[in-house]
Amino acid sequence: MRRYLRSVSWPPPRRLAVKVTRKQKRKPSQYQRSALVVKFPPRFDLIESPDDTVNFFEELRSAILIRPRRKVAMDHQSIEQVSPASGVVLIAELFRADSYAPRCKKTGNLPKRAEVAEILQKIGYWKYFGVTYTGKSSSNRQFMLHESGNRTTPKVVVDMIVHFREAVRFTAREEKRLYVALIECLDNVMNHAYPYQRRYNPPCLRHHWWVLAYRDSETHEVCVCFYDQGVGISETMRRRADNQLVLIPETDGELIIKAVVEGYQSRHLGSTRGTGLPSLKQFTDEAESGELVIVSRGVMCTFPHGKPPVYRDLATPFCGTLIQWRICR
Amino acid sequence: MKTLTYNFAEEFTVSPGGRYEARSEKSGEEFRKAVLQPLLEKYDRVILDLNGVFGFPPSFLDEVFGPLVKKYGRSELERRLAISLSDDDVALRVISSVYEKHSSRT
Repeated sequence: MRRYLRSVSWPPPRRLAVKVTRKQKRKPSQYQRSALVVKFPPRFDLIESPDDTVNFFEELRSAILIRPRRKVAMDHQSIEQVSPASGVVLIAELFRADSYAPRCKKTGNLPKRAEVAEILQKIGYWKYFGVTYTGKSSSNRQFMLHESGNRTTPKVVVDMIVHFREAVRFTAREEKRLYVALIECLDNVMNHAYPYQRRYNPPCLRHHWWVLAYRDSETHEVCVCFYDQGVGISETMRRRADNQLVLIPETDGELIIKAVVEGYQSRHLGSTRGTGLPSLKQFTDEAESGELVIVSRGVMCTFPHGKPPVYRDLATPFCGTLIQWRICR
Repeated sequence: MKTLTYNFAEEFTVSPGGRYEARSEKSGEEFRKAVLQPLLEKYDRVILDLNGVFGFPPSFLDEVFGPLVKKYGRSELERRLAISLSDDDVALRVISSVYEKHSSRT
């Protein structure tokens, strides 16, 4: 179990391909009696402060999944800033914890900053603690969270587009393009992120996606964050390239950038695969401002509006793939 | 000669999903297997009206038309299946590239 979750040696050695068909849970005797305090970083932001945030997620995963405790106390006091992208990953981890280690009791304190508590309330975080934050709302951001799904669900995408209409006016043609791009992103998760081979399926893995979207009517900004706990974009592409004998770049960052940038060109050549992310990038290029950020395993790639894409390696590998798409117009 | 006009938006969905039935609601595979294939077997000519939909993902279209091109051949499928789509030129281009891609493989 530990071998699978320590992503340093990812992917684990090859084994026989076996379909994983049942959900597994921790046995009661496997929980450690001592409680553990998990402290949030001040900037709980996967995009702005990736290393601290990824370290926090590793610590949380260790306390809940690898060496599960009877009790985990979440220290929210120090959070100064929280991003929607971090929020969706946090929700996904708690979802997985509730499903795999249901006897792990989670407690915690409220953050000092009311804005932080409010954002966490809006994304549905406090319900995992059985509480509701009733502070007064001051933000213009309207969140819409679809916690998870294990199939491509067109209704989720339709709801998102309808949700965005109050903040950004898309033409009918643009709405069609956006619908197609978002469906392709969800479908890629379900078709590629979770291979059936046993080596990719640790017992705690749930084959789900998580989506968090928000709109800000004042700044005319819309944002979608997708998260899955799968093998990562680069691993998927390497597996496919192995089958097709295609030459691919050496580093994961270059590989993802090539997929997004050249995927756009291949779309015009009639390809029907890998068109979701290139299409989202095209939206950011056409908007007044915005960006597409992909955090996948050990790398973070950023595609800012009007600038060439850049990537950086993370100090600690991230579990899964997060895509944040944000535009302002 | 039996001809049928099938309105996709009214009779199947306004929000088509992804490629495979097992991993997507309202998928291309589901539409092909449950709707289009039986219609093509039952009628001499089917007119497929694809207007009024949120959008057609390329993987959906590939899964609907690709296997049919392989089965019937391009010219036979074009004779039996007419597509009416005036509000989405991108989807129309994708369909034509799917026809081309799969006919060159047969």
